[in-house]
Amino acid sequence: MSMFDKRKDNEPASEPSSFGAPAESKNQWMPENTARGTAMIGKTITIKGDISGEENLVIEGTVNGTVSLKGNDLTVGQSGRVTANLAANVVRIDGEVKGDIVGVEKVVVTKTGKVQGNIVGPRVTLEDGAKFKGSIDMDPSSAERSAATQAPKSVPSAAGGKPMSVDSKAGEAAGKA
Amino acid sequence: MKARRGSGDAVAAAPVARRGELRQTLLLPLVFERIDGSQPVNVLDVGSGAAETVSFFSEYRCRLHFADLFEAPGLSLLPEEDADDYFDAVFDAHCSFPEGTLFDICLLWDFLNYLPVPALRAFSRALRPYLHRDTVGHGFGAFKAKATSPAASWAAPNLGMTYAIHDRETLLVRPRLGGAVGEHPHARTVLADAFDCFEIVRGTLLKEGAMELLLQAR
Repeated sequence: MSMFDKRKDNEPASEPSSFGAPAESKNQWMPENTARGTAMIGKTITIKGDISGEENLVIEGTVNGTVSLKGNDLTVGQSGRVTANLAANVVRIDGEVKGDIVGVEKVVVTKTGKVQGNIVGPRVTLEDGAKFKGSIDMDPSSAERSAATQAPKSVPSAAGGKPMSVDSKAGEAAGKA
Repeated sequence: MKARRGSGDAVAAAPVARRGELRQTLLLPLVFERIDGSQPVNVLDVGSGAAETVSFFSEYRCRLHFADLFEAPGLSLLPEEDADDYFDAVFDAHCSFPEGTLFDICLLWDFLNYLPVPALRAFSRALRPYLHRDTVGHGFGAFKAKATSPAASWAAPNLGMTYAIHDRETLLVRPRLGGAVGEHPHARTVLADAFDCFEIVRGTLLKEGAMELLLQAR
């Protein structure tokens, strides 16, 4: 039996989503859990260190470190420049990211997005024009395990140009051996 | 086996075709038929991440590796001395994957046509640790090296095309943006000898002397 005879699950192939909207319509995007608000790191802000929280976050500035938003959504805006491992419920990349990305629900790299790193998530969308180098792990179990265990640590060797490693559990899921 | 999306999906394909050209592939479906779907599938794409390829695989448990080797600096050079060491270093820098990675599918597109023979051998050495006995590959080569002309539609290296999977039987081919790399189309016999981590198990002659290749790890 071929893998291409069966679907991963019974969900529609690609449901319409506000995260699939083009970058220009970003302002129309409203996170599902707006009750908790959305924080923003502005264009002129530079942060070196680890960011965690329980609200949505939009990064338009520069972040070097890690970002972990349990159960919340993360957007790296068009002006965002992030060198960090990212973990959130839904991750949308309009800007530049060097590091690994875990999206429990979904990861979207839009047409203006540029990612050098590894992506783990059950749903990953690269829009036409997005720039990506690295690996994409779309095994749902990998995403769940990554999110459960990920306290993003050091930023991988994204700048080095080599394909980068994902966390060990994701690697186990994807490995053939 | 049912196609996920029919090749006759002209209405859906039309907007895509404006940004590239849809072309039928004869051997890519065979790649997928050889894969056991009981485990997550590890896929190597030597190109950069293509939206259509990601979308195609998004319905399956899989891990995609986009190596973007077309953009790797130094591949178009052919040093006069120590070519093996030189290309080993190039591929070591751009073709090393997490320990334990074993690819089930290698999508090589027309990358092999860009590599001089020493680079082909180095690529083979670099790739071999990541293959297992059931690894299958797909790519494009030349029936005869001299037959591959700039006008060749499938495998002409100097056209600088990028490839994406539109559906199992159709590829989306676009002009490549960015720097050009060298052109080294190889006859099948040369390719089989130099790129010996794979065996060419089937080749289909295309127009202009290009060949679509189905590969099996050895």
